[in-house]
Amino acid sequence: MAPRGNSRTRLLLVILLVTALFLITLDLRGVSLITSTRTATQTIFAPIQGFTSRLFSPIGNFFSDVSHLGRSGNEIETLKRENQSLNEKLVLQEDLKGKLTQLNAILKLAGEAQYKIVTAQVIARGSTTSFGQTITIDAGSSSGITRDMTVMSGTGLVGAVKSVTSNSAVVLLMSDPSFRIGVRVAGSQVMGILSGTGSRSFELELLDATETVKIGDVLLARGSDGGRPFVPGIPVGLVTYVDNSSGQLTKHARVDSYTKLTAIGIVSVVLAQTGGDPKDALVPPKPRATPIPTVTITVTPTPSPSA
Amino acid sequence: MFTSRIFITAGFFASLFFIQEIIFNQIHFLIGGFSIYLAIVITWIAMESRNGALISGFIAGFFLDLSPNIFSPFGQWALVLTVMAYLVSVNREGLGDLVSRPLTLSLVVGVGVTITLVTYLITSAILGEQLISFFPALQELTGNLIWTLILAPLYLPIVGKFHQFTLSSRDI
Repeated sequence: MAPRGNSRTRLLLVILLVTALFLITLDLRGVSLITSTRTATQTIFAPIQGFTSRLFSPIGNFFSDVSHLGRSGNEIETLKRENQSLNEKLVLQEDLKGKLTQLNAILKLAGEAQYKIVTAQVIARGSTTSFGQTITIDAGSSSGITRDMTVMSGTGLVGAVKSVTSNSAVVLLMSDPSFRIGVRVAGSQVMGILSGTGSRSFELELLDATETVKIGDVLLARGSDGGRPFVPGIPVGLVTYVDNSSGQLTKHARVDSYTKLTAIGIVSVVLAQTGGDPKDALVPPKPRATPIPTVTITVTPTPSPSA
Repeated sequence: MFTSRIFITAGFFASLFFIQEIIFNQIHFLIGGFSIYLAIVITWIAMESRNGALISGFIAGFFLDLSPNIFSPFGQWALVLTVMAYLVSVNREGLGDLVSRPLTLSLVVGVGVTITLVTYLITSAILGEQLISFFPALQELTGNLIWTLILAPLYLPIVGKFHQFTLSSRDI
């Protein structure tokens, strides 16, 4: 009995594996039925995700917020005082206020660059099972969004539209390993390719090995033909480390993005660029260092009574 | 009997996939993500017979392939979870009755989920997709393992009872 059962299992295994490989082949050959099944899923899920994102918005970033608590004792004390006075209503109000701030920043940036934009709310984040970095937004083709459009936040680039349904769109975040964008350094105009690594930092590869970049250099999008997938001039990130090791054909640097990709609630999709290339006009102002007051105490020896 | 079993499994995985996409994808877990879907699927597979595990793995993978957030070729998850179902069902026979040993079962599920994700990365590399860097991948795998083990006392009894209630009295 056992060998018969084993042979049945093996036969079943082979049939299922062949079926899976057949599906992969069909998908890689671009059979529309396969691609449309995912679009159909997205169409069904998007309205429900929109509803649940409103429910889960206050707690969605709970874990990531907790991870940042240890950075500063002062921040923790402030947060503790704030938490005491928070109640459910206030949490919701704060959430709305945060979104409003993001929205204001987006409108300011888009206004300066003369981008025609559609603003959308993030309703889902990419599946953890795929190792990919995506978000789903609650605006789609009915709002004029099509594939390969630039997505930005109030501080800079977020990613590009990967797929669209009538009422939602999936955005490939710039942190995704498959993400590539042509960038230029503001000021020196040195060009390079920025790649996502799946983490918070990004990899910059300069096109010309004789050129140099330095820490603190601002990277802007170089732009694509017709502004798709990337409009020119949008802030991308800040150089944080330069690899100066000799013997390499190309120069590399590490870059931090302007947008905190793990905590975005509102984004906007650039539909068109009504003005020309904004050049370096969108370079964010450098943060000013807050002066820390110092008090110097000099100990003056008191003359002893015997002296 | 066989058809009804497939329908029950498919319905269960469809509901689970829905919960994962609608609720769990909204939450940003510390360290790395947590996939309730993968954790429960591996638990389910570990409780099944060999043939049942294979079919369950394929169905579970098929639903995961429907996810709009995944850009890997359609069928890749079906392939990965079918292979994993075979591996889990073959190896768990040496461990005896897992339902009565929840600690062993949670370890099997934790390791199973990790190996599933590693297998997914390997197949992605074979299919020529862009891969995540080493350390973020390690972080994601570690986070997934930790959350799978931490939350095991919550989902294991529920899945165990549901599996017992719906399927255990029947066999292929």
